[in-house]
Amino acid sequence: MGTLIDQVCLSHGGWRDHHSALRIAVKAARNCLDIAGRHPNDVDLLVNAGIYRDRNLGEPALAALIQKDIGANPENPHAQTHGTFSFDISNGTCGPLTALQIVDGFLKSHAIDCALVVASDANPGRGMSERFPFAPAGAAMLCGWTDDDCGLQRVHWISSLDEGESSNATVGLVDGHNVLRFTESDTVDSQFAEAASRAVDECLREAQLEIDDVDAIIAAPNRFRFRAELAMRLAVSEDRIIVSDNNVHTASMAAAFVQAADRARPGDRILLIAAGAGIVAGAALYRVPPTRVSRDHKPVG
Amino acid sequence: MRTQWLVMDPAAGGPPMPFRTRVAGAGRHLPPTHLTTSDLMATTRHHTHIDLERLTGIHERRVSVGDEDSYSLATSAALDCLEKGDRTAESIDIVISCSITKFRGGLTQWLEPSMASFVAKAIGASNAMTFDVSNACAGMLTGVTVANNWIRQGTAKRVLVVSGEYISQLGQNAARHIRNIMSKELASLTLGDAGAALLLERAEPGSAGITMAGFTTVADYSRLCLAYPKGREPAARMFTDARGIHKAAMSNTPLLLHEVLDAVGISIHDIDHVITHQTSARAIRKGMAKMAASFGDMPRHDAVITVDRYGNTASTTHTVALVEELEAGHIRPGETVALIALASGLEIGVVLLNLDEELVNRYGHID
Repeated sequence: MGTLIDQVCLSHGGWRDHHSALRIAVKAARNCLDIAGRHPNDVDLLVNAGIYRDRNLGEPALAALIQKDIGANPENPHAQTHGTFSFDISNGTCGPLTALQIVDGFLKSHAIDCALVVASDANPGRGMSERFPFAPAGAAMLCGWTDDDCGLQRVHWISSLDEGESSNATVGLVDGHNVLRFTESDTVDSQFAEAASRAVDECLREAQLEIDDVDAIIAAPNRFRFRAELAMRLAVSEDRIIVSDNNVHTASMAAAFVQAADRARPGDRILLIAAGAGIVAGAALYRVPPTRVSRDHKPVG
Repeated sequence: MRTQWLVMDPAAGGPPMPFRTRVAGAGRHLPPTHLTTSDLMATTRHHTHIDLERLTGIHERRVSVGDEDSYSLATSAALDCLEKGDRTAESIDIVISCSITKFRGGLTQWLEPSMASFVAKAIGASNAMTFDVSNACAGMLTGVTVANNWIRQGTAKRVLVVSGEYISQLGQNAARHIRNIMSKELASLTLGDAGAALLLERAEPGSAGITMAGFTTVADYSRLCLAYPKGREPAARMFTDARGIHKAAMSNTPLLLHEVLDAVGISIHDIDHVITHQTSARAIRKGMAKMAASFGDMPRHDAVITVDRYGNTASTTHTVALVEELEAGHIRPGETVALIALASGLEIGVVLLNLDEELVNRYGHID
C-alpha cells in the first residue's frame, strides 16, 4: 500500500517566464495532466512545495494561483461533485518529499483520490534578488493510491537544527529595496550529507535492508560536493546516486526521480533522499509498480 | 468519483483509523502594546474620512513595537501551549509553522530554513520533523488538517501547530497610501500581531478531539487578495478586494457547512461555539445571519468575536479566540466547536472539534 507517482513532468523557464515560478509550475502541471490523460478537475489536492516565486509573493498560497491557472475546479462549489484543495508547504529541497508524505496521508485515508505535487523556483524579479543561484525550473508529480505492495513507503526524517547557519535565504531591505539574499557556509554539503545518511540509516534499518538491496538512489539537492560526501557516507560509488542535471532547487528531487524511473523495472526499490536548510533530511523507499511512470516526460520550455 | 466538494477527513467510506486527534493544549502570545484604531487612523498620510472602527468593529489591536517578530511570537505561544498542555517539547514529533509572515531579527523574512525549524530549536523540540505550511489566514487550520490526518493513522503521536504573525507593519505601510474607503489597502489597517499554538496528540477512538476537518480552495477568487514586498517599504503591502472576498465567502460557506454537518450527522443547533476568521465584527455578524437564513436555525451561542480587541491576527485568529473562550470559561468539556477558515485563495475550511475535561480544566474553570 502506498502512494504511486503516476506521472512526473519537468519545465524550464524561457525568456518570457524566467521570472515567474507560477507560470513555470503551471506549465509542468498542465503537461503532467495531459500526458497522464487526466483532466485538471480530477485533482483533489494540490500541494506546492516551491519557494522562490513571483515578487516574493507572501499571500495567497501560490498553489491557489496554480489551481486557478490550470483550471482545477476553480468555480463556486456545487453539489454532486468534488472540488480541489490547494496549499503551499515550505521545507527547502526537502519540500517535495514532505509534500509526498502529506499527499500519502490523505490518499491513505481516502480523503482524496488524486493529488498533484508541484515545485518551482525562479528569480522573483529584476532587482529583487542578489545573485539568484538557481535555474528557473519546475516539476509536477501526479499521485494516486495503490493497495498493492508498492509505491511510497514511510518517510524518515532527521533534524540537526542549526538556525540557518549552514544555509539560509532571506528577504530584507537593502539600500531601500526588499532583496532576496542567500548565504551558505563552506561545510554545508558535508552537513547535509551527514543528516541525509542518518535518515537513510533509519529508513533501511526499518525496512531491514542494506544499501546494496536498493536498485536506485536519488538525491536532492543536486550539489556535486553533497553527492560525493553522501556517496562516501553510504559507502557507494558516486555514480550510483542520481541527481538532477541542472542547477534547480525544489524541482531537483522530481528531476532525479525521472532519471531513475527511466531505468527502473517493476518491483525495483528506489531510495529517495533529500536534505536542506534547517538542517533537515528525509529518506524513503519507493517500490516501482508493475505499470510505471510514463517515459514521456521531456521538460517543457 | 467523490460527490462532496470539500476534501474531508475522515472521508465517507474511508478505512477506519486506529486513533483520534485530541487537542492537548492551546496557547497564545499577544504583544503588550495596544494600538487603537483612532491612533492608527491618525497616522494616515492623507485625510481619509474613514471611520474604520464603525466599519469593522475593531477598537484596538496588539502590535509589536519592533521587539517581537514572527519567530518570537510563535515561540512564546508554543511555550504557553506546552505549559497549558503539561507536555514537554522533547515529546513532540512534528512542528508545523503556519504563518504568513516569517520575520526573524526585525523585518527580515526567512524563506529558508523553515520557521518551524527555528521554533522547534527554540523550545527544545530538536529532534522533531519540521516544515512550514503557507495558506494565508487559513494556515493554522490547514496545519491542523494535516496533523489530524497523520495522528489518526498513527504516523505521528504529538504535533505542534504554531504561528507567529508580525503583520501590523502592513497596516503602517497602508497608512501612507490610503486615500479613501475604496482603497485596496484598507484591509491592511485591520491587522494585529499575535502568536498562537495548538498541541495535538494521539488519543483512543471515541475520545474527545477533532471530529472532522474539511477544506476547499475556490481558486476563481485567488487574485482578490495579494501580499508581497513592494517599493521601498519594509515587510510587504497587501491589496485586497474585500467586498469581492466577502461576497464569495458569504455565498459559498453555507453550502460547505451543510456538507460537513451532513457528513458528521449533526444539525447546526448541535454546534455550541462558532469561531470564524476574524476580519471584522460586522462581517462575522452578517455571515451568521446568512447562516441562520440558510439553515433555519442557529448554533447554540453567538459567534465568538475577538476582532474588536485584537484585530485580524491573520493565521492565528482561531486559536487566539479559542484561548480567549477557554480562559473566560465559555467552553465546557464535550461541547462542539466549529472553527471556520475564510482566507485568501479563496480558502474555505471547517474544523469541528470538542475538548475534554482535562484540557478545559487547565484554563482554571472546573464545573
